[in-house]
Amino acid sequence: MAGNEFKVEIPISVSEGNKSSGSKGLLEDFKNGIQNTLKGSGIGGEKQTGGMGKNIAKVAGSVGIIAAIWQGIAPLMKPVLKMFNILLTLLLLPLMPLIRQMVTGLAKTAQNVGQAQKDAGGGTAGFLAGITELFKSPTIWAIAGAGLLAGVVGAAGIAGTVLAAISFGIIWDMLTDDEGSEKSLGDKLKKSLIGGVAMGIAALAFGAGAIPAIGIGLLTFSTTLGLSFLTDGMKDTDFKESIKSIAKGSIVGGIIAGGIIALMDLGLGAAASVVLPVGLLIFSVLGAIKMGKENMYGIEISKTIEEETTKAETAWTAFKSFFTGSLVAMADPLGTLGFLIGSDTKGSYPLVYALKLAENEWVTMENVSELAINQVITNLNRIPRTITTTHYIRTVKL
Amino acid sequence: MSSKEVVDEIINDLKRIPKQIHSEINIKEIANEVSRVLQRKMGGRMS
Repeated sequence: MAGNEFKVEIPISVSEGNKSSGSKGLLEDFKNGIQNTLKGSGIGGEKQTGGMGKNIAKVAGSVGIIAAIWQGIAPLMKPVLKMFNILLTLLLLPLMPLIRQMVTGLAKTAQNVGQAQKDAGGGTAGFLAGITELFKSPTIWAIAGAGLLAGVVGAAGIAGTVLAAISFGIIWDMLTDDEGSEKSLGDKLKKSLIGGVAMGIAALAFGAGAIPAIGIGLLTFSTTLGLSFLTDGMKDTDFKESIKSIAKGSIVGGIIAGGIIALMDLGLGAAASVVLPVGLLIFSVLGAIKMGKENMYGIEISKTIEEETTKAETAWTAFKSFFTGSLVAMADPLGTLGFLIGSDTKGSYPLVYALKLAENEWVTMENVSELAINQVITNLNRIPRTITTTHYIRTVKL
Repeated sequence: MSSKEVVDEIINDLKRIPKQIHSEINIKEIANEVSRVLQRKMGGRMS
């Protein structure tokens, strides 16, 4: 953090009076000590221009420091939130482009529904036209699938939500990508690597240390790469090929989950135990969605609004039945995923437990800092004014 | 306790503050203020 270095102004010699080497040595010690303390810690070279500086300048001595403490300690919740954010980002960052696409899809759907209602001339016909247009939207199907998932696995809490986000994001990608736009493995690796490196750098910036940063970067890389495989699998027209791709992505997904556990310092054994169930879970969900898609979108375009609506409802019922049935078979792996994320008890719920540990760490740092700064104030008050003027009297006779 | 020992303690106190939290408590201002207080108490010019 060399860009934030700053120069601490330290008195190095008295301008008048006592220039004893003892006093100079004391101040030099302080100068060296404080510079060592601040070296490499984000304390920088520019002159402070914040409001606190102005306030401090108006008050004297220790009172100014007390003001600094109170103004400084107050925002301590901010780093706690930062810590929470980085952990949540670790989970959700790879999904952000997909979520953005989904929002765009919703906007397009709304536009299409409105246009269909307008074209049908309003009334019942307009309403039916709107409903039909709504059922055509892949985004709506994706959200419906996610809603089903969240409803069935409600006990899994956040786990279900995260999984649903993955599901509808991938569905959207699958249905919107052109057939000819499939990326090469090289492209996947390149983009995944960029994401991984960026995440690693972000982790370093937050003081995660080199080893965790590398781990976070690798996890992001794996996540992005895994999602690429899954996306390919979902849009592949050859069912065997698509299942293969989904399997590849699922394995990567399982490894990611295991990697998160390992990253949280809970041991490689625990990490290994979640790789298979999570991989199986992802494979099951996406395999089911893939098959559901074949059924849904194999429907021919109907000649009338009524027929189209009926077929859409039929497809919905089939999809719902298939999806719900699949979830029953996935109860155990879903439970595993839920345990990964959903509570604050050590051992069973590492993510939330880790968040709690992070919060505790910040509170501890706050307490240590406040104690140390109060001690600094006390010690400053113990130093007497030591300016002494050595002068002598000469008597001059004129 | 001599002034030198007190200053040593002050330095140690500052070192105890976790680096991760430096920017959040604006330790830059605190350190500058400590410098100013010392300068006022001990005299001398700023460098």
